[in-house]
Amino acid sequence: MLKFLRRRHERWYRHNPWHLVLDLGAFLVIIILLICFWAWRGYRPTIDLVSNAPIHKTAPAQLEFSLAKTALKPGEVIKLKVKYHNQGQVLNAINLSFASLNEDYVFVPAGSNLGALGAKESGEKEISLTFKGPGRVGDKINWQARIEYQGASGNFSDFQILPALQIMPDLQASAKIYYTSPQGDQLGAGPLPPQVDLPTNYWVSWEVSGFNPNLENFIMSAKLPSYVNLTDKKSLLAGNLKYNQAIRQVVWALPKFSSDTTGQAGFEIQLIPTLRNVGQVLDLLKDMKYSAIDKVSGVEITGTLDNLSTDLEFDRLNRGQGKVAS
Amino acid sequence: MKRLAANLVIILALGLIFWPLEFSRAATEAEANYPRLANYFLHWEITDDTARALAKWDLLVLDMEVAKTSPEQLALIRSLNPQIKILAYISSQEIMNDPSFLPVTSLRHELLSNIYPGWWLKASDGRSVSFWPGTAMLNLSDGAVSSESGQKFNDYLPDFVNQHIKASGLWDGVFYDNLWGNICWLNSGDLDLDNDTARSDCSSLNQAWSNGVVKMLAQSRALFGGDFLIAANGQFYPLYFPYLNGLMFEEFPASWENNGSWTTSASHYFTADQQISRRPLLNILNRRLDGAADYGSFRFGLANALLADAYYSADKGTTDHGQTWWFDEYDVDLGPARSRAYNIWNRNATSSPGLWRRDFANGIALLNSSATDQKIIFSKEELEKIKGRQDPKTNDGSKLTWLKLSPGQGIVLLKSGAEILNSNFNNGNFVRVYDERGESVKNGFFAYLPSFAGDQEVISFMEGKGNKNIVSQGRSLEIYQQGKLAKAFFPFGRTLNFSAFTAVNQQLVVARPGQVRTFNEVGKLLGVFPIKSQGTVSLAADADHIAIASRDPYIRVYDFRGHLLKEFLAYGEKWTGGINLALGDVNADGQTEIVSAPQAGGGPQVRIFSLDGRLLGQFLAFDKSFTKGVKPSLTDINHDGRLEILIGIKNF
Repeated sequence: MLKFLRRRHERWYRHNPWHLVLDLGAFLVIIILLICFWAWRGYRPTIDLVSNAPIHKTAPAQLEFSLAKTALKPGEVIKLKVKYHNQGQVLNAINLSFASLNEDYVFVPAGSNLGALGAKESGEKEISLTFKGPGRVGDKINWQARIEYQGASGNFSDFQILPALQIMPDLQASAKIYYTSPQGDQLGAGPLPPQVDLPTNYWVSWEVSGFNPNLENFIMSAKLPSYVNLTDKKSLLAGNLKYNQAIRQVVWALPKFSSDTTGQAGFEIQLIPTLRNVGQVLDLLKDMKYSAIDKVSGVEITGTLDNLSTDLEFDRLNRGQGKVAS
Repeated sequence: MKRLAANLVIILALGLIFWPLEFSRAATEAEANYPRLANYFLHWEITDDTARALAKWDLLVLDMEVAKTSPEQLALIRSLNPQIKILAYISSQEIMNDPSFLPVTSLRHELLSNIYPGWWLKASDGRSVSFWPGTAMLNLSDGAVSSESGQKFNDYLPDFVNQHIKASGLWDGVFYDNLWGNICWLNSGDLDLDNDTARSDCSSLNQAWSNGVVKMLAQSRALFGGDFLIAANGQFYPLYFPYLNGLMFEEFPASWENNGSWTTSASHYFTADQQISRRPLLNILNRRLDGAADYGSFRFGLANALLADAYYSADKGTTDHGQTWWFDEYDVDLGPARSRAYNIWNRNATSSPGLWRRDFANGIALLNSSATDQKIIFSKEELEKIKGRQDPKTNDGSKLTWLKLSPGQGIVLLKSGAEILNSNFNNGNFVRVYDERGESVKNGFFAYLPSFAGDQEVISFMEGKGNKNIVSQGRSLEIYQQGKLAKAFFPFGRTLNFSAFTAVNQQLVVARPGQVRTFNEVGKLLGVFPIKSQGTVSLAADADHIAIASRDPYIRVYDFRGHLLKEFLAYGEKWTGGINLALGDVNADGQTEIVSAPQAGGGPQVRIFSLDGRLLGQFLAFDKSFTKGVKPSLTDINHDGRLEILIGIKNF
């Protein structure tokens, strides 16, 4: 390098010092260009369709969004969980607004407010909202959250893309127990309220609706307490009913169905209470759950139902006659 | 070889002689349905109305005078009930001895006029003996004086019955009243059977009397032959059984049998049931009631009768056998017996007091003959009470899982399980059961055959020991014999759907818009004819008619050759929702009726039409707000011999 500079000096600089000025200028230009190049190479935009990183590295708070489930039935409530951490000074408010990237859908409510955050404050909040739109089974809704931070030194906005939502068939299952049907027909038999050592029979009615050709392998099940048994009586409008004695589980299965399938199954159970049950309202069906597979998305649609008891919650004529008598 | 052939011929001949007899006996016994009803009706005259009422019983014991006073009424009874058995009542040991009370044309007058003076039963002092007011006893023993013709009363009585009762052709048999096994209890034992004006000892009296009765019965059987029926009332005396078809147990358990002990009476009843071998068996269990509304006592008597094979009779008892009281239980058909009677708590007991039960094809009979309350639990059985009108507090039609019976209570329960036969239904539907007036006659139930898919349309027939089921399966019809697929075919080919089908008289009737096709049971096409229809078709058929409905509010009746016999408006002009149909005789008038009900969108208004379109009745089968469609089926679900109207829905 010194040899190079000595030769340049002998040949140019001692004859005319402006050559030195010219070289230094060219060197500076090269350095500046190199800096510009490396700066360009290292540039990262704050709005990135892939990354959840904040738009600006100086965003005053970190927000993380998550969903319990992304496959939803029309009208089903979206449970959006927000974890937040204020990295800097006090924030007066953080306002969220949700926007669909699919024109057919909007969200209700369209926004939410996380409130004021103290310095370094962390926490989480669950926001419930629903989507409005055609609700076509199979539709995918892309959406994003716009975040507005209101700080003492000014406002700042940011965006985050949220996990896409998938609209699933509106599969609904119900379970009811009757002694007398809503039309007044005696379906059960035996003492009501139930009596110690005497059998009381009840009729269980299971229904499923919201069938869709995309669904298959519907299964609904319940477990029978030790004091309840299945009788031989059943009546199905679709599928088959099986009982696994070992685990006392009744399973109703509809492997295939169409939109006009009448999804109903009924069966009779028998309660024989013992002396220690006196005064108690006894569960008749427990651990009720159902599931089906959405062939398109491969998602398993599941649901659970509340236990049903001798109080006959759905039997208008005999409701509340559940306490075992001696 | 010749000897072998001769033996074979003899065996064959004997077989031909005896086989039909045994077969018919077996068939008679096997087909006996319960309860079997007897009416012990001893009025001397019967009116037309009474005759019509009496025709409902299976066995009548009528006074022999009816043949003289009311022969037309006897004929009327037989015309109304050709299967009925009618026995002529006659006392075996006494007669009204004042001729002024007896019309000269009466049989008693005839009987009395030929009584030889030496046949009257006398005490040791020579006075007549009487058992029943207004009558005098006759001496049935061989100690009676022989008449000029050498007859004793025990010869004369069979002769009289043979000449005046059997020979009339009006009777199936005779009923000898007061057929006692002993006599010593009468007149404090002061009886002179052998006309020696001395009182005989008790043992001799009884022996001589029973010997005389045996002689009279033997002569009766010899004169009448095996087919003329002989039943008797009196005392339990097994020596008489070989000659009898049955014994009456009057006022069961009778006060004169061990002071009304149930055990004694039941033991006699069960023994008679077992030891009287003549067929048909005509034991009669009679129960004395305090009136037509004495339902508790009635039921106890009925349950007792059902413990064995007796015909049941309930009336005012010995003071007046002459009522035509009809009880709700009489309309029940329990079907053939499926067990003998058994004491639930002691299966080996023969007649000890307790909770007694007998099982039948369609129900059970239960009674408590003990002195304490008895409770029974039916945890594995589906039973329900009769749905009656007379005593709804007891017969309320409710389903049961247990029952408590107080001492002296009896009851008949029906099996809840029901099967729809000979009429289309949708598998898994909930059906309500109505009569033609729209009155609920039985609890609703789920019509479900587990071997077929839910909501599949099915028609089932009883064939031998199993069922035949015909079901629609897409575009094909499938015929199952005893659960196995016997035949499947496509009534309109593999590419065309059909709307409706039914089966009647081994023919399948299948329809689609515009056309009906009939097939035999192997799927061979028998006929095709066009029909007027708008949209999806529904149908029903009997042996001669096919009723068709479609989306318009009309019902059209065709014959099997396709001739339109009648077309009529069944619902409002604007109704386009479709009509479900069923055909059958629902009011027991011998004519087919059309039962219709709207499909989805209409109310549950069931209508009954004659084949010529006259509206005979209508009723709402469910709440009027129910508009999901109802489907009628017709079957005799409660085994009363009449078709009930079953209205099915998918969901309640």
